[in-house]
Amino acid sequence: MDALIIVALVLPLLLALLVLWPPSRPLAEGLAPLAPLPALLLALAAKNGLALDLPWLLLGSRFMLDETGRLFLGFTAMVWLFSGWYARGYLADDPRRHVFWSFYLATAAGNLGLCLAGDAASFYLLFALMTFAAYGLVIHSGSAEACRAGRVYLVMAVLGESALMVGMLLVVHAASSHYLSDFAAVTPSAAAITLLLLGFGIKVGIPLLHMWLPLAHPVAPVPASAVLSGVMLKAGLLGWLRFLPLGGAALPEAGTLLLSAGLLAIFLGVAAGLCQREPKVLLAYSSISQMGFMTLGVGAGLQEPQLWPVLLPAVGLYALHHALAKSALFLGVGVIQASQARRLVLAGMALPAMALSGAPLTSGLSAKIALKNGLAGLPAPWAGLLPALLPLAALGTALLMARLLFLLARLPPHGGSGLVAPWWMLVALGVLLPWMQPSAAAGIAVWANAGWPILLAAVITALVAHRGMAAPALPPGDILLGLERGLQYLHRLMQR
Amino acid sequence: MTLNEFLPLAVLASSLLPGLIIFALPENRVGVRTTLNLLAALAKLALVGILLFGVQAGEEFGFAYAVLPGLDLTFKADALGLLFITLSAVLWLFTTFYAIGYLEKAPHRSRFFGFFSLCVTATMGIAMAGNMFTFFVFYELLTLVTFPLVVHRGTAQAMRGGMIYLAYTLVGGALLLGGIVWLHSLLGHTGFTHGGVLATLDSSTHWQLQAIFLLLISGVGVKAALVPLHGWLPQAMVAPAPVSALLHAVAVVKAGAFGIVRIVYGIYGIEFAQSLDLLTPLAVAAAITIVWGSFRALFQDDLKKRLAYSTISQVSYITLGISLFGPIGTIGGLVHLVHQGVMKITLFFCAGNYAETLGMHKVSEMAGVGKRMPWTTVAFSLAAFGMIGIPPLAGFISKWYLGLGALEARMPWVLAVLAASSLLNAAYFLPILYRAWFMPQAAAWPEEHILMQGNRETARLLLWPPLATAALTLALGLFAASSLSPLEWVKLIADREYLTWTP
Amino acid sequence: MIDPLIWLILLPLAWATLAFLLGPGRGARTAIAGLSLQLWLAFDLAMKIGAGGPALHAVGGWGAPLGIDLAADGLSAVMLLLAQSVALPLALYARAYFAPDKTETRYFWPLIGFLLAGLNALFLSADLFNLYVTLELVGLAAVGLVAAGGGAAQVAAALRYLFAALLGSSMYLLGVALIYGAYGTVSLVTLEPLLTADAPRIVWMAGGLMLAGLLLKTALFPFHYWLPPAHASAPAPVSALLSALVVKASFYLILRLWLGPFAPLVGALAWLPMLLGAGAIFWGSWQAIRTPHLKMLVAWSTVAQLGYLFLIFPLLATTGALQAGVMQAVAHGLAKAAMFMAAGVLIKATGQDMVAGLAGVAQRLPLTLFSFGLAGVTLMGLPPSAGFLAKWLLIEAALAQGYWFIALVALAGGLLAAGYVFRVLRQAFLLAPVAYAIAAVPRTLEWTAFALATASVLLGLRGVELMALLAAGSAP
Repeated sequence: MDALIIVALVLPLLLALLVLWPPSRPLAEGLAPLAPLPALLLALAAKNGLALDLPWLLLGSRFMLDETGRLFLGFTAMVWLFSGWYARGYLADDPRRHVFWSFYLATAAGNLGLCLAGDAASFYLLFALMTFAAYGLVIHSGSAEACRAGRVYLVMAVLGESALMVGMLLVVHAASSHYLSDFAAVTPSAAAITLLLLGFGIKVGIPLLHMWLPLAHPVAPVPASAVLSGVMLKAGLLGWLRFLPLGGAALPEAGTLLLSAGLLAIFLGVAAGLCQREPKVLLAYSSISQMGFMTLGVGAGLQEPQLWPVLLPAVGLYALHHALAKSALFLGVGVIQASQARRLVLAGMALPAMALSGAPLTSGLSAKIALKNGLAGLPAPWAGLLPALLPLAALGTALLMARLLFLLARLPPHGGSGLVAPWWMLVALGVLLPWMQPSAAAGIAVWANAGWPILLAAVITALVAHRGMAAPALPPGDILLGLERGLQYLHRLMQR
Repeated sequence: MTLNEFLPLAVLASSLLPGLIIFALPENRVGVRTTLNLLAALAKLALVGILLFGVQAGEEFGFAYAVLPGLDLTFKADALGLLFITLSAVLWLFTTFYAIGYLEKAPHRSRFFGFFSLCVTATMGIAMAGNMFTFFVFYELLTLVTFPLVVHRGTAQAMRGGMIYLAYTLVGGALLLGGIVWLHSLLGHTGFTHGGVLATLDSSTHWQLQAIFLLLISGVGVKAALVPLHGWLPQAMVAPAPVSALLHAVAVVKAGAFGIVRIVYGIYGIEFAQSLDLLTPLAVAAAITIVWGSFRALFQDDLKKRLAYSTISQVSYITLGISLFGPIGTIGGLVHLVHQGVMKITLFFCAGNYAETLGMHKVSEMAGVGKRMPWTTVAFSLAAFGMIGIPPLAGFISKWYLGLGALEARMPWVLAVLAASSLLNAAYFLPILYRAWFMPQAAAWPEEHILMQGNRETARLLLWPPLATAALTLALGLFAASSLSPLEWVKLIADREYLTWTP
Repeated sequence: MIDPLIWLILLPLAWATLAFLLGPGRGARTAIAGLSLQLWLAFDLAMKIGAGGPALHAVGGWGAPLGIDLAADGLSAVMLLLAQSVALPLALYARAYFAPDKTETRYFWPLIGFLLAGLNALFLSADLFNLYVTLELVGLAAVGLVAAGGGAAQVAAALRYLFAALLGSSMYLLGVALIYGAYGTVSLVTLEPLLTADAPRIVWMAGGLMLAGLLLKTALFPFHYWLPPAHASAPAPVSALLSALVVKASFYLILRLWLGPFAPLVGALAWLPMLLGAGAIFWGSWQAIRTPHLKMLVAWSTVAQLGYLFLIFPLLATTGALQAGVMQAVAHGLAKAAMFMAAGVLIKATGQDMVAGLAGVAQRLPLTLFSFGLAGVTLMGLPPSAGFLAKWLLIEAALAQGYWFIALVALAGGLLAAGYVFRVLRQAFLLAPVAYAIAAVPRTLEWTAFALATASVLLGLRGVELMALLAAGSAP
């Protein structure tokens, strides 16, 4: 198993290098989609508590597999696997596809590896590898839009990395150890918590730090968008789980902050998403909104440590569900543009869309109920606020999904090639997910509760579509525009 | 003379003698000169290897010799000295290769390589100096032998740079001399000892010790380019690329930083320096330098100038680490001595390659160069990422220890400095990388001297040294925790410097 | 067994006379042979003194009050050694420098012989009057050497020099006469117990006159006006000799009297030479930085460097100060001779003497430029050179007694020296098209300059023996 860990870590990196070397390029390109396979095997087959110490590496590295890590590794590897498979077809005609593969594999190496990281330095290394390599995915198309998105992405990434570096140093100093397993026992300073919340928050896309996300996710090639939105956002979430003292000391201020941020994200993501004309941008906003749910879970755990044992599986399940659903949706955007059987694809797309909305019998419902159960233990004002707001959130999500399907239906065919099989498999996995484990998400009452927002959304959408009403247009990146304008003004001021 | 006395002298002689012979060689004896250069560099490396094994095994290498009654030239190859010696010896080898390629067919090569060898000799002397007097002798020697290298091109601009360099360093030298003699008159000697030698002095001399510290630090601070004593460095980048590489990575700037290390650890003793309240001002000076250097680097379009300002900033990491009271900060500072050297030499090699191959001197001309010179640009990118402090490169390890050291020393504001510096580093390096890799070539290259030869982007001797040092940048970070890394060596040093320290 | 004391004086007189009779060609060879012998004698003497303390020789067997005593202690031995070690390479240099048929060479070798005889005698004399005689001999020979070139400028400079030399020695002689009138003796040994702090006013006056006269001859600021033209207009070997040795003779005399018989009188006076010395450093360096002529630059540098010698006077209570002064005298002697010799080569090769005209010589005359640079290192007081050791000792003596401003002057002086030395080096390294052809110069010229320059630097790595010799005997 130790060897498997090393293979899982090294194989994507090795392929990323080989793909750049012309003689080995064809072989490496062929193997590239399989790069996450060892990681997936590891997630499925390895025992919990597996640990591998490499004392000569970096600052003395440790790689480990625990319950959380296994879950994250599992869905991460799965999404990378299917996206990679999809990318083979998607990029078949791209003359610069080796460049894409190289960045793609390096990003995968970081993203998969960080699920295994057992110490702060390794985690930081792999997180940084993922972040910076993904820059190459964002700007792959080389268009002006992509470059702008890349710039914003990079600025935010560098800011995030700096905040994380300092935050981690504070935690490591407080714990006198750089092993993740020692962090749960200490209460880091407020500064450390703030920096970690912000640093990983950039990746998660919490409000005000989200502006890179709707720019970067849509401009990337479709398979890259799928992993960006599907799993890489979860890396930020995993960072929180790894570095924050969840289940330890109560941190009411940080909890409140995160709960508010989560709520804000849920609604702002929906609102801004509804104003989009571009399906991929809409999906990016939807990701912001969905990450808000997980943020809620983490916030609640910070506020009430005793809830954490209930919340952790819920957050994990939510992450899994969203990873599968969102990557299926992103891939679907590519599939539908290339496909002849648009109606069939559209029907398929409805499945993950339903799941995101929390429709009965979907993974979304299980995840939402698990989360709701966890959040139920929160004190006032959350105890009153959340039950009132969450159904509204569900309605919003349903509306957003309805709008997505509406936009997809009107999307002009784009040509190009897209492999349908991996997309279908992702969809199927998402559908099968709730049947894999016993769930509380059964029963008429529960279904009715979950069903009405979806029905309402369908009605509203139908009405709006009938009347031909158009949502106001909002440029992707929303608050960024103001920021950019301000900076330009400052720049002019300085040059004067 | 025993072997343990002879070895330090042999390390000095292994570059001094070849240097003197090279002076005497006629210009056209290329083969002899090259052979001599490389043999000397390899011989030195071998000697350093023996020393390393010896010191690890607890052997003491040293040699003392009276210049005046009561005034000794003392050489001592201790763990700290060896850190610097090893760095210099390794990078000297790379730079020699590079310089041979760089100066192919250029005039005055005998003079260049002669002074080049003397420059390394001076660096070795600084590293092995066993007292401040010896340190000063080689410190000033370094100024003298680098001057002809800085003005090697002989243009008016080079002269201007050289004169500014001299003005700064000679004034610095005078301050340093004043401080050293003052110290000598108080103490009767200026020898370096673990834990310092001053703690035994009467407390009535403490104000003098503070004044001396100021003199000494301003003296070495000129070479270490502490703001506001840094003005010479951006001017001295008119030198040929191998010289800049050596100046910024190994010789001059490092000599200054190493001087600060010796003064704080060998003379004052870190614990005594802390009790005299000397460390916090030093840390503040270093912090200002770090931020100011990075800030100025943002606005330089000339690539070498940008790198020069970056050096100003990065070298002060060493000073910063030294002034953080506690072994972890010490480790961070000392290990950066090595890391900064390896990263910066890579950057200057690459800058030299761009200039020498394509006539490219400005950042604004670099669009698309990643396609034309991918390997050089890979090396440049690795080193630049290292400077920003991105793992798993060498700079990350330094930053990690500096950050933890700052917390240990209860100076959390240093973390803000480190973060700001990382951001600024990213702000001046990433646009270069973006241009090089992702922007299409905008115009013809300014002056293409070396055409593509098959798959080779530039001359072999220009390409391999930066690739080797870039690989080293990666290895130093990735294998930092292995027992052969400088980090482990530095931990050994830190262990010996803190006598009574408890966290 | 020959006694080096007397032979060090007789030998140069002998070869000077021979050289006059034999003419320049064979005269030069005789001189070089004689100088080699003298160098050996000086070494021999130094060894003896180092081992057995001060040496004494009564000329013709007549003892002190009646006859002439020759005495040598550590200080004299050091100066003798310096004089011979500079003179021998200089002679080799001069032989290659002068075209054999020129008039200036005719008198050069005899005059050099007399000059050296005078110098050696001066370093060995033990009474005030003999010192006067030797001083006069040195002065006249030096004036002769300056004038030997025969050009109008040289004669004018020589006359100015002659006037200063005569005025200086007359003042000294007057002082000696007054002392003789007061105490009835001129022997240093006899005088020493007689002179006390409550000496009559006439003795103070005598001391003042002697000091003033000697300062004039040493060309200490502000009595330096005669030096730059004289040293700059003479041929290079002569300039080297004058700057390296002749001015040191009167300095030696001041030091000898200051430490010897006049010691009780000089207490408060010590600041005067120090202040003048500081003035010399600043003014001399400033002029050297400004002057457009190469040899003038070197000559002004002599004015500045002489200033260091006088910084030690307030500090003489510690042994370090004397060591500093002597080390500086030796360092400057070697380095300045080398520098003038190198300047001579540069001027001969480029055919002009402007600093601005040196562009590009680094490529054409690397060895000479290197010698100039090494000599410059000593003058700047940078390690590892004898000049550095001198500066180190001086600063340490100053700080030990709390006179930190003396240390400041010394440090600032080093920086100013860098100002004029690098003026030349900078020009030499410039990559300028060489407009005029560079004439070939004999290798001897380059190598002798290099030897002296190297010696001035290497001495900085080994000053122990010299300092031991200096300490070997106190004043006789």
